Amino acid sequence: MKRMLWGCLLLMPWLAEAADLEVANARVRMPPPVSETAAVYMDIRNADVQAHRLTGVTTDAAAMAMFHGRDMQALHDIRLVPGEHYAFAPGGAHIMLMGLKRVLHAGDRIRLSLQFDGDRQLQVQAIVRDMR
Amino acid sequence: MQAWKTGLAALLMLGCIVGAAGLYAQRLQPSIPAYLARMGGDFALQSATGTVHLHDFRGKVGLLYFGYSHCPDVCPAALGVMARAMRQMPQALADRVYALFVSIDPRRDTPAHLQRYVSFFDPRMTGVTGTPQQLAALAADWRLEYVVPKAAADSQYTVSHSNFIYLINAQGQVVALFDEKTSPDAMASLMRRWLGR
Ligand SMILES: [Cu+2]
Repeated sequence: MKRMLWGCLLLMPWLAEAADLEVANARVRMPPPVSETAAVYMDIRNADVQAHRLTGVTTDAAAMAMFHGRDMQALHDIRLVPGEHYAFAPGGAHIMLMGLKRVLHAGDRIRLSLQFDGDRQLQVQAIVRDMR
Repeated sequence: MQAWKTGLAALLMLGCIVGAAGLYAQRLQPSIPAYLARMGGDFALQSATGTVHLHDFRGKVGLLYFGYSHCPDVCPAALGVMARAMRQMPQALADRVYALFVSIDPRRDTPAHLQRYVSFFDPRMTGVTGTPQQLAALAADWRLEYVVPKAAADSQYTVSHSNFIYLINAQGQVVALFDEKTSPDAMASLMRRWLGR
């Protein structure tokens, strides 16, 4: 029963916005316990016939969350053309968490909310991975 | 007179042995690419347990990386690769290698904080930093480019910096450059070659 509940929770992102915007493989690079920052990676697919814009991100795991390029400069309004696979990935763009509110352990899950144009939101769970 | 001649002969023989050993060692060790010849140099920086000089590590082969602890992506990736390379060294060479993380963000990275940060990757790593002036001089010597914004320590600023991982030979010279995408295997095998194994 417990496992089924977890399964439902994990499926929620897909259920929330079924077909046109999909998020997969959301994970957090486990930071050293003394660190106040962390990077989140995920794959976003725009399966819609029209372009979308990723405009913001929030999380209850950190004081601040934003999109960063590899050079740590803020990215605003990430445009997703129809059919696009956009990757936040190690060594590239990432979702930057600043002011972590707790120590993250491998296997923990954090919740993020992605905002798209037209007031659309996608709830995502990212799993903490030890990537040392 | 006789003793003087014997002494001279012994001295000549010793010279020959030292010379031959030197040539042999040079043959065993890979050569330093010309573009690295004037990169690097000694320094005195602060760790959690006191002053650290590059020359403290003479006789060992090391990896050195410049970064800052608020860096969530490239720096942890680099330190992770360095730690894996160290762990891949054969047991017999485990204490002939070292790794240094030099923070270019001393406003937020105290030596004590840095040491806790690097220990997460490998307890043998040492975190060091210095004054902005020391770090600027060091960056010039090590061909490092970085920008630390003039912002309050609690303002969540980010720092940009080049991402070289420097391989340093037993004489303290920079002998190769890697980055966070280099495989730990490749790093470990070059470290072994510079240790003559
Ligand atoms: Cu960032």
